[in-house]
Amino acid sequence: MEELIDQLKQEIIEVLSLEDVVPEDFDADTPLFVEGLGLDSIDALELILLMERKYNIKIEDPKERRNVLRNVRAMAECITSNKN
Amino acid sequence: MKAYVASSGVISPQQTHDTTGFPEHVCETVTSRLRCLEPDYRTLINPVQLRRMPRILKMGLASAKICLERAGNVKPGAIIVGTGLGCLDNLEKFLLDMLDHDEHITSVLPFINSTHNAVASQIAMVLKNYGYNYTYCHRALSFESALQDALMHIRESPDTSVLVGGIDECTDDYMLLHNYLGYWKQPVSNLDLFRGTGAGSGSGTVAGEGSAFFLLSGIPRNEENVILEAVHTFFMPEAYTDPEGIAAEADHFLTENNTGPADLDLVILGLSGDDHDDSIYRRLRQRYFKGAASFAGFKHLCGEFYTATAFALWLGATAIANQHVPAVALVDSEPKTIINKVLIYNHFKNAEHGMMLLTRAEGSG
Repeated sequence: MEELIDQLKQEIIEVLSLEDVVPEDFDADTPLFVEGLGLDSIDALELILLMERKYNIKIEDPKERRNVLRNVRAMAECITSNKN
Repeated sequence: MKAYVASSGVISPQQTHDTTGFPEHVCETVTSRLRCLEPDYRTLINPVQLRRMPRILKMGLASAKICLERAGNVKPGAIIVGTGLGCLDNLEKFLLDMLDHDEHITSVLPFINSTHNAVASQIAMVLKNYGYNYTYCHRALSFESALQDALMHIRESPDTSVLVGGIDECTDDYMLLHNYLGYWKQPVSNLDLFRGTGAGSGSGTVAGEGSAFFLLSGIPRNEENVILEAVHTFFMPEAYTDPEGIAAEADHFLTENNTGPADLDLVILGLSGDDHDDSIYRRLRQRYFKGAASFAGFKHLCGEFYTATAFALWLGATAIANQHVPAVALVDSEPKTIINKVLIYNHFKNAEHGMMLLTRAEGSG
């Protein structure tokens, strides 16, 4: 799980072009939106695309999307549970 | 229908973004493609906005901001941009992404930033400017069309300031596709481009890119001494069957503006190093501009692109403002000590032809 979390942090930085952010700046439980990393709705679309293309996970329900994208740990848990 | 050139902001393959005059050093490269020397965008654009901007938006916004800062942060009444290719790099990314993923969900940002009017709208959003906002995309007459619109705005309301710019970027795919059409030379020193010797001779030219913005106004605000008198465009004259056609257009344009070829202190020509294209300039120079004082080129400094004449306008305006033409720009002629009238003439593949007349304001200097 920790390895996947590190990988996701790196991917989020790359996909969203967070040039001044390094993986050490946020942890697995840091909120991604509004507070914490301060991401917005356009970033959310890019993260949905990341989950679809890289991890083959399609989340249709908006409520579930919000839950999965709340922080890196929730994203990693979603990916792990879909693998099993 | 004329306008004072209050300020400019230029990002080009020369070090033009941090000086109001001519850069001290001219960049010489052996290449088929001149690339812009870009500023540190973090000093000009909010980093939060910066992360989502493709390169062309950074170039456009930065040069617009430099231009407005030099004019004392004037709030423009209109923002008008000319671009031949728009945000080509993002358009390529967006379309390739669609192809690669069978037209399913695609990345959002390249789509948002793929439209031709993204530069003008981004400038407006950052400046919180809700005035007239328009983008002209007419290949090699895009910038001239933007200027003509700006001049019409100023004719209607002379106290309005108009931010007008020309911008285009070069991409790998654009280079590749146009290479098939024989547009580019093998790598050549850009300064040898139109010397007509060695690798600089023959067909083809060197690709370029750039962003140049100008603040135009109907009334002088500070000590502006450069006036854009008029802009003229015409399409596909039969230059080879009727060699007098372009001379007649030039004569008509100059006469309308109470000028003759002998009144011109400097003629800036769009010489590109392509023998076929340059023959039009040479013929015009021999037959019509015989009385003009000196001649300059600009595409060896910025490369060939659809809005290269925005760079030429900067060159002409800077020559009048500084009463000096750098030797590197001159073509087989001596500089004149007083520069009051400058004509810029450019054509692209003998299809789109554009002329701009610049004068020095009376009482300046």
